[in-house]
Amino acid sequence: MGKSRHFSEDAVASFLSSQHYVILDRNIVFPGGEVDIVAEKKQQLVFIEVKYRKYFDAAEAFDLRKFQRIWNCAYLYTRGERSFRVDLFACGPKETFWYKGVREDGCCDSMERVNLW
Amino acid sequence: MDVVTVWSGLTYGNAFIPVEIQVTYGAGLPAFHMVGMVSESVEESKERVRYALKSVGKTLPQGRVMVAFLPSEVSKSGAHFDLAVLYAFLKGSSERFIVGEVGLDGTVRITPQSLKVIASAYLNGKRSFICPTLTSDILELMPEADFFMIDKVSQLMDGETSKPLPSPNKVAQAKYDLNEVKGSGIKRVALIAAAGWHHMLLLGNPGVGKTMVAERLVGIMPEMSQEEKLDLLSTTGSFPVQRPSRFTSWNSTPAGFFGSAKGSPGEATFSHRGILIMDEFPQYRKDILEGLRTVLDTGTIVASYGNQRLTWPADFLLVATSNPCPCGYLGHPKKVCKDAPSSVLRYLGRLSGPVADRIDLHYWVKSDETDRYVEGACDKVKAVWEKQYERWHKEGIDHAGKIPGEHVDDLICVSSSIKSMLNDSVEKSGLSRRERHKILRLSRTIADLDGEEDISVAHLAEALSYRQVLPWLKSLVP
Repeated sequence: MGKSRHFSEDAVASFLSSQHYVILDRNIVFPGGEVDIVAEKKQQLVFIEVKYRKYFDAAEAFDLRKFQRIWNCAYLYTRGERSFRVDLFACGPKETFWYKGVREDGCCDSMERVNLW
Repeated sequence: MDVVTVWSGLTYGNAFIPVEIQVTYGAGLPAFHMVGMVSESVEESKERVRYALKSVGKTLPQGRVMVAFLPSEVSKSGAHFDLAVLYAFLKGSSERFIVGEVGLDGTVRITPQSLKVIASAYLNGKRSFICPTLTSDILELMPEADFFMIDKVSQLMDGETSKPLPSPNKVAQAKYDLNEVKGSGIKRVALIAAAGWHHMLLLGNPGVGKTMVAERLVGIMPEMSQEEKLDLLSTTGSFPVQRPSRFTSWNSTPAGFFGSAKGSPGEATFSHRGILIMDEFPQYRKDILEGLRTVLDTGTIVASYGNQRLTWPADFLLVATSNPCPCGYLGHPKKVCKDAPSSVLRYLGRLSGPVADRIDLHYWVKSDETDRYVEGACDKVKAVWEKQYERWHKEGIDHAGKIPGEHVDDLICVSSSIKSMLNDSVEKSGLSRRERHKILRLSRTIADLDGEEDISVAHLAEALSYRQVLPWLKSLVP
């Protein structure tokens, strides 16, 4: 999946740029975990996880533990000084879903279908 | 976010509880939740529904799906909710009553639980169903209902209903012939028991044919009526091709016999409106024998488990068979009983007392009886059933054996001479009030079987003779 992973992360990054997001960092690693993309738009800091699954719904691979790792990482990154949002890109070979503002209980603010490729 | 509502149901004992299923979904990571005290079998329907949807080219809505089963304080079990949940995703809300199990390939199947729920929903006034394909004889039981029957999930989208399945070949009612039994006396007793719905206790030495008679009793009873079939279907979920005749084993547990707290019926309910055979009666566990008391009186089982109260119909005809003593040879013309008197008395003690008191007919089966061919046994029984129904149906009673004690004297008219005779013999042999009622009921059936309107001395004498086996056996003990 190595190839797909970088491929999809690159696709998401270029998609975000086209949506007027500024990419701040890629693949940051902290003791608590790792975040694929850090982006910003209109003072809103967004931590983005990209998941790619060829046969299953990629979003199902995202669970509470993964969310907590991203959150820990985001907290360390901001040193607790800024508010932030966690987003998930669930990519499949055909379509991609963008879950905005994912919360601990699995709910999110909004979700939309995007065209990455 | 819209809430989609569909209807299904469940049974608890013979109670029917309609279940409202609400389906909604919202933004979030994909999740499929079910709430409302669902058991594992309901919880698993998530996967069945997911793949059944896939089989018709649909998927679950993206996001968090929530399914709620209401009322939520009743625990739900069974696979029959699948179709209702699936319908909510495919078509949206519906007022119709939806029952059925779905497979991963999109086939819709019938389960005993579904049949039970459909039948009891029908009895509770539901008339419009979406369900798996039923056989035509089940449909005959519910003539007023409108069924949309499907074999495959895709039929929900086409709106195409299936034809009913052909009914399975009927098993011959008289699988066993009563005339295979030898002995005119025992045949007579079998006729009386079947004709008047009198419980029967057959005593005898080993190998005289007690069990043989018990097995053949169902053959001389009329076929089940549609109402009886529907009743049985709604509590057990199995379609009665013929009147039930259940052979139970003496190592049954009370839960297996009377029904369990989870709501599964026991042998007593499975033999509702049929025959329950208890072979080697005194060998049964004491709690089963004692539990029989109220069941024999009321024809229903009432059980309370925690805060739940269950009621099952259990209106069976009990045929109990037993040896007279542990070795079996007490009262044998040639062989000698080798048991200690105390053990014989203990054995007989399990037979007498409150339970045997509630069994109308006691009969000592002998091997050297004269034999006479009985012709048209089933017709004779049917004639008595019709006569007794005609006489008492206004009081809600269909058989002499089921007249409640307080009404026996009002409903069974006897001439004053017969009455004084009865009172005399009751006083002489110290019979209880209940036994007096049993004798009256028995003599009424015997008179009906002989085609006579008035109870004569001969009928009364015959009825009395069926209460004297146990005292006679006790007198044999040294």
